[in-house]
Amino acid sequence: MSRISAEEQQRLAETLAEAVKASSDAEQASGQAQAQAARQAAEIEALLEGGERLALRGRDLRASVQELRDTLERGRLSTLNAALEGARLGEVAGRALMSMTEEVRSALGRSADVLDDHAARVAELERERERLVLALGPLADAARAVASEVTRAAERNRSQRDALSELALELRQQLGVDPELGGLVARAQQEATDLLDTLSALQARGAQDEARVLFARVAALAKPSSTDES
Amino acid sequence: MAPLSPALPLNRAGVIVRLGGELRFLSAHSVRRFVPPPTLSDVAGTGLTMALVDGQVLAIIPVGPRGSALTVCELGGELVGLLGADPEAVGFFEADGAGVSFHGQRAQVLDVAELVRASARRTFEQEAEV
Repeated sequence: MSRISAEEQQRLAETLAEAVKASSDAEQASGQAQAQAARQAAEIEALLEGGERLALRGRDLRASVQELRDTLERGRLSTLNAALEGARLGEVAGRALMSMTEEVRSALGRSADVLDDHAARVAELERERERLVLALGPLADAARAVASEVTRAAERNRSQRDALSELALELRQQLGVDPELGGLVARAQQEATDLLDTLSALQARGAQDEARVLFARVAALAKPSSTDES
Repeated sequence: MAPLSPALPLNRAGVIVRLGGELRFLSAHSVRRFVPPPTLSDVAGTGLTMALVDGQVLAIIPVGPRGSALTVCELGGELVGLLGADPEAVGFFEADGAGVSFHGQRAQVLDVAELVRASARRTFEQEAEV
């Protein structure tokens, strides 16, 4: 038994249909947002892991720089020892050895300078990496917070949809209001209005014959329902 | 034997080391070699320091901060390591009094024998205190 008018029933059904559609759209959007937030959080996590790998490589680089420095220092001591031998040989006999060791020591000194520059650059890269990791930390926290918020929003959407479904069922049972039917009726009304507008536009542009043919076809389509009603 | 001409500069072969900010000279024949600073071992109750260098146990005389090299010297047929006397240059240097001139600076001779004696004196004093 219906306690509201047919018009009110239709309005209620339409409103309910809109609410159901909006809820479904929101659920879909929140699903996409959830996936996007999860992807973003995973990407930031991957960047942080990349930062850790870079730190390990930085440690390896520092160790190899130290090893090179030790090697150069051993080389420097070797040239000093060779020069000492040259000095013991005397000014004439030792001159060639002295010149050669001086040349090598000078090359080793230049290598040590280049190595110091290299070490300074490695240290600069390490500081840059630390700054990036520090900046990524809060971003990762924010991404995790967004992901969890979006998950909660998706849960709320699901609850809302369930509540609407219950409401629709109750309205159908109590008042005979069918949101699906209401939605279909509303859509048919909208489409009929659009069709009539299009036909009027055709007539206005002088396509009388085409419009007549189309009117006839629409009338033919409408016949069975008018027969049912009668 | 002809006397040395005073007009000729007399060069000395050796090593210039930096000791507490000062340049000092060691003759080439008193220095055996330079090695990386080794692991040091204190001899308990004596104040002496020893180190294993190329399979030989050497007495070490610390003369300054650890530095980049141990200068192994020979004194009366014995080897002794000077730690903290970093080598600056090796070669022939113009004689300047008892020492040499290096880049316009006078480098006095470093008396290794005196360093060893001073180290021994300190050791005796410590033992006497004990």
